[in-house]
Amino acid sequence: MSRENNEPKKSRFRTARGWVALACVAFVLAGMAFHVGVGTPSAFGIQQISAICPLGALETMAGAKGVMLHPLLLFVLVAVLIALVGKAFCAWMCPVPWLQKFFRPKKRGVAAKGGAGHDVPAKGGAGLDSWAKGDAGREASESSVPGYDIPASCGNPDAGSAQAKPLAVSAAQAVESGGKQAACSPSACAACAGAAACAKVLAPIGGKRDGVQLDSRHAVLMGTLASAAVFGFPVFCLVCPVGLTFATIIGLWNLVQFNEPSWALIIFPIVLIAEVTVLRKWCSKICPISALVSLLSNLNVTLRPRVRTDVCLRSRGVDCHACVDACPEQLDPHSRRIPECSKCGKCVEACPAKAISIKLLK
Amino acid sequence: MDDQPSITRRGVLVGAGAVASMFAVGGVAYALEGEDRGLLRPPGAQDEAHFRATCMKCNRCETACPQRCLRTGVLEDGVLNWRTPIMDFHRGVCDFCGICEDVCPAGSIAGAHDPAQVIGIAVVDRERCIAWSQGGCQVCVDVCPYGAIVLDDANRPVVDQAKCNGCGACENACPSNSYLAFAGGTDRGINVRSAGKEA
Repeated sequence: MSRENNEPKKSRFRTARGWVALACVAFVLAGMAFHVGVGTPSAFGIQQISAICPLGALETMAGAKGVMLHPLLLFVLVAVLIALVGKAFCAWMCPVPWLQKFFRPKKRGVAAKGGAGHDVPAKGGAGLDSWAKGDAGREASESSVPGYDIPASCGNPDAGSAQAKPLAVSAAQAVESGGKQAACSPSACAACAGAAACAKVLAPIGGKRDGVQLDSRHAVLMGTLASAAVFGFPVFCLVCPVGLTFATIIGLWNLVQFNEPSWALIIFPIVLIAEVTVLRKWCSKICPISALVSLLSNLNVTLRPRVRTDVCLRSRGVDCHACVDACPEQLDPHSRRIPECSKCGKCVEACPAKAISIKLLK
Repeated sequence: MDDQPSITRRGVLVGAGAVASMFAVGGVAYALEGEDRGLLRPPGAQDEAHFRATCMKCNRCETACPQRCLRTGVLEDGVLNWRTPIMDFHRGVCDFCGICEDVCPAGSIAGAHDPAQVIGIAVVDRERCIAWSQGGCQVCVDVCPYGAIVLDDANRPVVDQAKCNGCGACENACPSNSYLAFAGGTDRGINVRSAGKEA
């Protein structure tokens, strides 16, 4: 564990997310190549069973002004899935965060706290980067800034290795927090018998989007269903970035396979790029899929990031908020209810004390 | 910044703007669609209004069809039909296996197992048909699984509309474009047309 810690490695979660995203594309291509009909993320599946897009299912019911049994059953299936994995779709399957990263690679500086959902990976990305460049950060914090130094007496063996590590958030933050905490200075901490005494002193950080959220996305969700009902067809599907991404891939396939050039190859990418570049806060402010999934994920109690409070630096009086800074959804894994969590694992990797893990239950 | 209450004025504005643009997209697409284009849908999806309402363009039927006779709609088929499944008998013939109905998650297709479903009606193009223009061909008559094409007194194929369900076997087999050259379009000597649009 500590060895992994020392290597400036790429994020394992990010690698895993990348593979899952590629697997989705590979599934779609394989479905077309071998005619097995797995479909696209709108409804991945085999034979009668498929993970129907929950928004699509509701839209079609609104459009047809009737409830059909098959889509309804599939919707229930997907609702159960979402209850189990929460908003994992957003971080693991949705192509939008990747497109945003690709078309808006510029980190938007050390902007004010929080960005928006996956939309502004800047902060989280910066956090991770500074971790990856761990040693540099550590040198900086050791030489010029006191950083989050913890007296050895206060750290448990597990955190011992982490302690010497870049404590990371960034040199700038270390300066800002002044290294030694006024409320609970390392010396005070050393004096106290255990970490517990200090734990009370630091207030919870809290994420901007902790708890049940109802925001503009949900207005868009209502608009999506209303427009489907009014016009009699799923309007949002025409502009859905997930659908358009895979429609572009299908267009490419048809170009190669049937020598069939189409407007899809020009228009879909333009719409897509407009959505990820102009509507920068798509995920957290607009996306009706995110809205619906987040409503359903209020039921989610599994696979949540959990913080071991005894290991967390905050229990030792260090005002560390690496996890909250890293979270693309602006959540605090310390909070009890974070239905917006997309299980991306960034907090797990950002935690200097390795106190966070994604728990199957609890 | 604005703290706890997640509904903010800005949020309301963003939401209203997004909803308005969605209605705009829907309205424009609806307006552009215009009249019935007579597209050939999978068997059991001939109620175009229901199909339009329910198809979510997931691409499952196109990729599942063992006969490979479904293509993905392009812009030229209309904005609303973009990415929707359309029968293409140059690629294959519908055998009413019903797999498209099975895989459809949205209930857009109903009754695809039944050859009594009418996908469309085959129409002989007398200018392109080899038998009508030159004589000596009866490929479509031989290939029709439903005996819906008969030869008239001059040995020219004629479609019995009551028996034809638009499976596309005749169009698929028609050799006119291989033997003759025509300007414009990929129509063959016999083509399946949407029922009611045979002319």
